[in-house]
Amino acid sequence: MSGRRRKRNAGIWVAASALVLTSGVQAWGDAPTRSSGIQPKVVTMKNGLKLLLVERHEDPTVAAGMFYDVGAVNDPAGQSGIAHLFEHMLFKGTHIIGTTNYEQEQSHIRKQDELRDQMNTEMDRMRDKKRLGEIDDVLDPAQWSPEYVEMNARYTKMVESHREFVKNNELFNLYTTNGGAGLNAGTMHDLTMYFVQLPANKLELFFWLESDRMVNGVMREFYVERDNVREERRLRTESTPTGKYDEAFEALFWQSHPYGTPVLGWSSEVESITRDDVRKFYQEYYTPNNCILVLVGDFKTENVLALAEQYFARIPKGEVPLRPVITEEPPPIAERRFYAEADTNPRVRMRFHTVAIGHKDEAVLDVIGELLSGKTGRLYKRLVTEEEAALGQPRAGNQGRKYAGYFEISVTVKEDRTPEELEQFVIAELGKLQHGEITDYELEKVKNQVLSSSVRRLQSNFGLMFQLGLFDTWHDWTYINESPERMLAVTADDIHRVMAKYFDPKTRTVAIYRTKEGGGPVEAVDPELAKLLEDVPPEAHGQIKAAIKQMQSSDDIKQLREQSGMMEQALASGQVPEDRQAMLAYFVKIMKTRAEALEASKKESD
Amino acid sequence: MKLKTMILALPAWLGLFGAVAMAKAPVPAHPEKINYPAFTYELPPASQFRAVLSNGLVVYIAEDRLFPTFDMSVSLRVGGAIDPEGKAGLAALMGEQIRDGGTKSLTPEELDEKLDFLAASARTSIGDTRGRSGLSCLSKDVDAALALWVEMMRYPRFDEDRLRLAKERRLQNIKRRNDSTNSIQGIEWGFLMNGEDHFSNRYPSSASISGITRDDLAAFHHRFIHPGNMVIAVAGDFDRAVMLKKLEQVFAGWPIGETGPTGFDAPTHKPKPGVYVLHKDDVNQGRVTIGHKSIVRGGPDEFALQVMQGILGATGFRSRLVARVRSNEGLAYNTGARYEQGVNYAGDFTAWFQSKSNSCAYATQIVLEEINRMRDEKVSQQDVDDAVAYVVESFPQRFPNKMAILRTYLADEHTGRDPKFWQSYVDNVKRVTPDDVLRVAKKYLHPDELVILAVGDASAMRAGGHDKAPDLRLDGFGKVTELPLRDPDTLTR
Repeated sequence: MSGRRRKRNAGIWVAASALVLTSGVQAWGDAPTRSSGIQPKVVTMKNGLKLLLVERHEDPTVAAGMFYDVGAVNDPAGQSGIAHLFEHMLFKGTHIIGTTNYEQEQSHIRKQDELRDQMNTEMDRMRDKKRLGEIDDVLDPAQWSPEYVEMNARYTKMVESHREFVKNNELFNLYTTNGGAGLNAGTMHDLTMYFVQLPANKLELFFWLESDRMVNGVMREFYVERDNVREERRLRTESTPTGKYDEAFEALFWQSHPYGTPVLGWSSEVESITRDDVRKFYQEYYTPNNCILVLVGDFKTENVLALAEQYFARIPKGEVPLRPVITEEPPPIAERRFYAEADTNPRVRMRFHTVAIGHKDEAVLDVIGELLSGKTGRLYKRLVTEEEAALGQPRAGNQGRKYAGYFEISVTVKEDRTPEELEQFVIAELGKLQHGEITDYELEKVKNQVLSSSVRRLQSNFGLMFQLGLFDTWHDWTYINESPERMLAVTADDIHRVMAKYFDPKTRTVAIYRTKEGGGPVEAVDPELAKLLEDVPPEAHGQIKAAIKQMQSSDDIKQLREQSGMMEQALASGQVPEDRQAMLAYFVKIMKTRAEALEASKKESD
Repeated sequence: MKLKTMILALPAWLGLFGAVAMAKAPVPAHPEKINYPAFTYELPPASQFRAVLSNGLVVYIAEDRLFPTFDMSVSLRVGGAIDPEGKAGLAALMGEQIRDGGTKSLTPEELDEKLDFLAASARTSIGDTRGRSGLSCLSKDVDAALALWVEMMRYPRFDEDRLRLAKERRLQNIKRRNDSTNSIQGIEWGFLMNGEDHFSNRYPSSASISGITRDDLAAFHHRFIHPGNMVIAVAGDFDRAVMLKKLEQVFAGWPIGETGPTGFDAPTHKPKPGVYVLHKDDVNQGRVTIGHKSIVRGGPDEFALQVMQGILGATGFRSRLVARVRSNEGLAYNTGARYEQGVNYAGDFTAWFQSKSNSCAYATQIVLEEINRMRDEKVSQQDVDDAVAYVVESFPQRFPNKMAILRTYLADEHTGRDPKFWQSYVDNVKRVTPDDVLRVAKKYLHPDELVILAVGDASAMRAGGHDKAPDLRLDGFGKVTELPLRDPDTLTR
């Protein structure tokens, strides 16, 4: 997509689309039933900067965003986390913003860099020592070499003397004292975005600051900010109950694709990114032809076009063509499993590789997600209401990213049940979606929800700005209108086909989280069984539990069906003593559930 | 960017480009030189939206016709603060089960199906001092959705199976209160500020949840859930007069009963200054909160305190705490301060950060220095101007749509704040001077009363060892009390 944008360079303005309306939203009829969509004005400047503009005059504000087509997938080898770290650096100012005297400041930064180079060399030596077991933490000041301690002290003094040239957080201050709200930025695997909501009369400030920092950024206070980014990683990942495990699960799921590397980077790599590294990254990716500017709100398009010309036309197009990520996931060759013991409720996460955003099967996968989710979805009914095995609402849905996608089902497990048991129920439900009936009622319900959300998603200026920017960076802004339309056209046959294509249980990746109890996993007993066991002599408990375990782990569908059939016959014949009937019925249920899951999994792979 | 490109681009940066490209305005040298068009914002007064139904129910209503939607937000005068003795969690459970437990004529599954089929969202939740309910749907479905909402609110079934599942879920989640430092810190801070006996620290336990019955829910519902304890806001694609008539109809015949809680007891506990440390395994970052009790809102210094908190720690990167702890020192991703002016009783003054274990002591020292500096030094006019602008310039953005305006007035109606508060808000904030800030800092910040709570790797946090302050330890800030984690169920130790 970025390649396509770069080709549009004839004339001062190249209208990429004829979809030009003075108001972004069409009027609704008396009995509106579906969204007629959103039609932004689309303009591509000579230097490749693309503008998506939606005028709405109800409230005197404008939601504004810059979406750069760069993210963690573009982190060079050994520099994971650089796209995110760089996003922080773009708040540190430019030649003009954030400095009291850039001329003098430059020599300070140069001297800092020279010393840092020496410190990096010494740090590499300390890493060697760590590898040899002579020290165990290169970040612990108590373990630093005397040379490093000395240089670090000098560096600290340099940073302090540099401070007289730094206007602390001037960019932030300019935005917020002019009414900028929600000012922030975000880095994802496929995107980096900078956004703010401004009072309508202050929109020029956005053009000034964003055009300035597209090319004039100064990487000041770099190493201090790198420390803050490390703190962000501790906060979000390392010191949360499941953060470390969630990260490891991503790395397990993505075998070759850079999606498996965390946006925040691996700590050892983030800690060693240098100021020069981020300068290179900046020059490569922060160009007008790799960016989309999105505005939604109270402005006049003609004024905005003049502002764009005034501020952005001066920035030359990037010369180095950017290539998309070419790495593809190899088809999964085996089930992958992951066990974690953490301070959390027991949980199962099951994932399948699916498709990138905009793929022709995506809408079907989205409908499948809807059929499974929510209070009246299939998973809730089966896992929460019928089996009473899940805690709270199970979640299921497809996530199509720019280059690839996945479908995930996530279920919190009741403490008296096992995650493995839930896993079998989920597989059984997936099998039913592939082979069983999907009623018109279910599909109509999903479609009503699609219609409703196709309207709701357009309501807030901020929300619409995000969607236009995200979708156009990953695929095309028209996705916002087309994806509901495509979902409305999905049939039961589509669902059967897509289930068969993507949901082979043999290719699943599963994470099982058990509650850390200071010891091994706790043996969970189904409460129904626990109640039945009350009437059984204690010496027989072990035997019964072992038999159930065998049933649950059997792979022999034929035998499971035969055995459960025989037991059912026995029950029907009245030959079973009354005090054994309930237990026998329980065995039948266990075997049938297991057989059902196996059949589903077999059909998947056929 | 290559050198050649850089050089070609230079004229633009020197401001010459404007002369070359015709009819293009030059770029101002600095954003401060931009001339902005004039703009004034006036928040429409509450009276423009306020209506009263014949049963006395107050409705804030606004037509908002850009999209074919309907939204309703309801404030409920009820709360966990009045949970009966031994039944902590009753109000919250009842709130949830109004939505989850079906209605007189509909099983829970039928109610779920009907709402989902309409793609309507009906919500109810009850907190300590206030309950909330809401309904959202497409405007074409408003009659059906409203009818379902009223049935659910007025005639809940409180289905036994759904109640049992909800109780089981709570019983399991109760055990997870010590999972994260975030949760541990939130609970412990409440106890340190308001004491063991205050209602704000009355948490459901396995005993109290187990003891709650369907009859308890029904009785509590009967007492408090009726139009007499509601304030309503509706916005969307409708005609105001038609909608008011509709609301008259749906609430008709719903009797008004006992008035819900209108005031809440202030805590009698006096927090004990000092350093409190709680150990959590397997974390490499400490979570530190520093503060003391504050005051109730509505006093003569309300706006000066807002500006003061802004300068210290509530104006994002412009604030002193973020500038020092984060931007200058690289000690924390998240830091700040808030002087909360309570609605019913005194709130808390808090400053906070999360930092790697060995730098918690160093960051604490910086926060304490900045708190003292607010009291010792008059802030500059620029500090005040920026903190005022931060609040004043973004004022219109507090109200991004009609419902946001209505919700503000709805909350004020519920808590009894003068509806004209927001009309004079901007002027009141603008009047604050550096002298005011110094005066309120001296009056309302009490360094000798500070409680410091640190949750994380206890020994590493206490030991300190940051390279800039290797000898600084948490123990240097007062008597350290190392507290064991509370029992997650009873929250006693």
